[in-house]
Amino acid sequence: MAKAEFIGEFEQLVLLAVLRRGADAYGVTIGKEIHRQTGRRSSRGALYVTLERLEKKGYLKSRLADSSQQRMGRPRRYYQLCPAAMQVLRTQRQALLSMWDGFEEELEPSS
Amino acid sequence: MSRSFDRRPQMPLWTEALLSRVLPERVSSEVLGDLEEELAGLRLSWPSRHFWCLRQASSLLFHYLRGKFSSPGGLPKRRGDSFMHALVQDFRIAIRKLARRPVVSLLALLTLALGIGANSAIYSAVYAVVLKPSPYPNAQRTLILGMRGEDSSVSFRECREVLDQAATLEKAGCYSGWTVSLSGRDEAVLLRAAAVYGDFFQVLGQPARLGRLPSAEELESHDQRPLVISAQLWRNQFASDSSVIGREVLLDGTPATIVGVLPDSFEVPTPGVQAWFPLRPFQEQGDYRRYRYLNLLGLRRSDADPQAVREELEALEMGLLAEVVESPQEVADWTTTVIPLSSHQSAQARPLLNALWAAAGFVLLIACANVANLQLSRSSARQREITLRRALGAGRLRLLRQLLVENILLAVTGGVLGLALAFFAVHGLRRFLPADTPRVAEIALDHQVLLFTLGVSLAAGLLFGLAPALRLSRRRQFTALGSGRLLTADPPQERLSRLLVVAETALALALVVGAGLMVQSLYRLTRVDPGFGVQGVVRMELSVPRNRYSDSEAVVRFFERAIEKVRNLPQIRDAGLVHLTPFTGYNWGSRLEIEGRTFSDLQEQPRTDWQIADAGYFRAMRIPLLQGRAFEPRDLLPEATPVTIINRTLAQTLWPGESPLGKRIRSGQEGDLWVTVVGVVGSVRHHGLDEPPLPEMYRPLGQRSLREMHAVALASGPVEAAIPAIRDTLRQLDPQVPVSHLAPLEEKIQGSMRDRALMLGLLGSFALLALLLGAVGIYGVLSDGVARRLPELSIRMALGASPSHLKRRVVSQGLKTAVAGVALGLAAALALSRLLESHLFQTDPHDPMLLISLSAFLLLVAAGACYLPARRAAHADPLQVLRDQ
Repeated sequence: MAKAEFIGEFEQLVLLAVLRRGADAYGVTIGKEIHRQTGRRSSRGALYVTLERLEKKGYLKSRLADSSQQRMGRPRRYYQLCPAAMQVLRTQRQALLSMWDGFEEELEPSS
Repeated sequence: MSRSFDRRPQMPLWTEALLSRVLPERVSSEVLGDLEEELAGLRLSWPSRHFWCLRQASSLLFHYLRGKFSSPGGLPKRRGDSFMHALVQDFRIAIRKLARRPVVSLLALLTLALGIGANSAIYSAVYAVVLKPSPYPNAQRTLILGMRGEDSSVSFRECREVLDQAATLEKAGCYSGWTVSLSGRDEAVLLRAAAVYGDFFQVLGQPARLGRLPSAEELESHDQRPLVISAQLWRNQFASDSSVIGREVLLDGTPATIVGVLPDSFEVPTPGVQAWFPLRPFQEQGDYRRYRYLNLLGLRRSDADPQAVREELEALEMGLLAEVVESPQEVADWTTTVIPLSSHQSAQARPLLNALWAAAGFVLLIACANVANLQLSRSSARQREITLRRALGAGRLRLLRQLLVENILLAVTGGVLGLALAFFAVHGLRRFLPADTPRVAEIALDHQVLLFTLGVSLAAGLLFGLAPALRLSRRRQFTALGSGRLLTADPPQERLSRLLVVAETALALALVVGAGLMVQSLYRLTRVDPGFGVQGVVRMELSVPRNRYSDSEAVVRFFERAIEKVRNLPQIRDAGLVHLTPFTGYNWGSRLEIEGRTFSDLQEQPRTDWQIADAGYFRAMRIPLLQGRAFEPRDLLPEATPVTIINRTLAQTLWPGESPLGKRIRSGQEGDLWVTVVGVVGSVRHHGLDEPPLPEMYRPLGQRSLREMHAVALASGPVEAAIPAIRDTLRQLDPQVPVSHLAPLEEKIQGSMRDRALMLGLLGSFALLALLLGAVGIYGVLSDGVARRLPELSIRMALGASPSHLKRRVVSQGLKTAVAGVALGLAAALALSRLLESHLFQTDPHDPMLLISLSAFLLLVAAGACYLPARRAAHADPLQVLRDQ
């Protein structure tokens, strides 16, 4: 994964949400995190399909754990970033930052 | 591991069921868990919960199903490649193409709408009357049993034998059509009823709508008289009052108890029966053993086939031979019939509906041929577009699909328009189909009809679209791209158009012949002399109850008084009584003995219809007295000799070339009584204008009497004024005597023609439609051909051909096509007219004159359609045309 690889925008949002939630990253919280940070409500189907795809690509790993009464006994699948994900996020951030460079004043939301 | 939860799941069951089936097993439980968790946090109301779940589920389904069908490499498919997307694109193109030629498209749409609409309407009737599963639970195994072929009624003795002995039948019952008077608190009404016996209700298995249905024991017991009424009677006479169960009423003057109400769908023995009451069999003695007035109905055992039932009935009948047989020769004619209830019920309506269905089918085929021709005429214009698209790499299948989509879009839109037409047609059908057609009220545009219409539309789209589409997409001539037009017509395409026109003409001729046959029948029918005066005659039915008039003398006195009162009304010129007026049903027939003549063979013994009448009847009906005298008051004196008046048909049968006056005859109706012929009257057509008059003898009322008589009154003015006057007079005389069917006699006669008039109306409009479409088709093909051949024709003219020569050439070409169609059409007409045969009257379906004249008519229409294009060809300026090239 050393090669500079790019991922889609939504994939990036999902990875960052997992990163932000830390130990508490599963379907519901990831969706909420994206909503809270971006104001964007992600489509449920897109979210799960993306999580699955990221796991298949080796960016995420998951484990099933603790079912609760609130979930009628169904387990949660907790996600965690793999090193490859950190790598790709870093690359992408770098790339974006250099693309942004010089436009901060113009594009910064006016307060 | 079992767990218990103290809170109920928030997720609707359907969401869980759906998602757990569709989502991959690996993720389904955690996804469902997430959904459940979020839902619990949202605290939504019931409807919004469902809505929320619907949104989530559809998002999940969309993404997971798309993933399933997409390529494994994770690369999303290009939008343009997916089948659905291409189809949507095809539809878009199709709509654009159709909208670009609004006149042609509209013409095609209208043509299709007419064809499809006609089919949907007729199918709705065919479905309700013939195809729809019978409402009776046991319909599959219910059989109508006949023991003597055509005349399927049996005597009570025979009925009892079958009820007791038949092992192949689980249950059996019998019935007989009847008319009874019903009176409760108010005036009496006459009802169409059925006397039933045995397991009549249990055979059919239809439960009562209200109350219960009497068992065989109850029907046979003499202590009670359970009465079952129809839902229609319950609504109209008892105001849908559910306390009607257990109510006592008077049935023909004797008490009966209403025990049940049958639903509207119950139409055994015939549609319109209003009451079912227990049959009281006539005494099993004397001639009654041979008195056949019952119809048998049985429930076949599930392990016995209809053939076994038939064989057993035959054996039973043979066992009764000694008791019931009249002559050995008769036995040879007997055939035992076993007919399933459903086909028995729809038997009468079926030929009519089949003929109409065939006609509607023909109209649709013509419509398809026309639209196919429209498409073909466009195809030379389309050719450039198609060739271009092929050159750019479109596959043949892709183009074929595109063209078919266009046609199917056209057909389905035509179908929707057709349904709108059918909606009105169905209302008409419900009103105008004969009232005794079973399940008329159920004719509707239901889902079956919608499905049928969709199927027909798709089939039509394929039918008219496939040939042109195949032709268009096949060609690889890139030359079409090069220049503008070809110099001459395009032969294979024109051949196809011509073939379509041949087919159209053939179908149109078949329909025109069908309509022509009906016109001829109806015309001949209206020319038939019924044998009596119809104008101004009012008829009614009277029934004298036993409890008020116990003996026959009282009955006769009542009738005499009643008719005298009617006769004296200022609105009435004359009035009389008869046992049965014409067109109201079948009379009693009996064998005749003639004094001084013996018949070695019972078969040769003449039969006659037997009537009771008074002198006024012949006057009011204007039946002419041909010989001898009318009935006179002296015939009613106690010591008078028994006399009779016979009709001309009977006189000619019995004494051809001799005077029948003073001769004596004896009928089976009256045992040993010899009666003297005193007069001969004209013959009356009793059973319909299409049936020949039967031999009849009339006995004077007074010498014989009946409780049920029909009365006729000849109005001096308009009949509408006479009817209320008669009703009032009779009500004043005795309100307990029911008077029914008080109506102009003309209605009955028109009723007997209505069936044919309806047939004529429908077939006639189909035929007109076919003719119109056929003419448009011929015109379209020819004018298209002329337009395409204009350069060729112009060269001919430039080389010296005269305009009239060209005109002739074009017309003769068109006519050649039409003649081929007519030849084919004659064959189709012969096939179609076989369906009509039972509806024809004095009309030979193969009448050469009719066939020739109708063919000529069709050719004339074809010639007219050829003329306009021919004129255009002849009047074109050759130089102008050639310069344009």
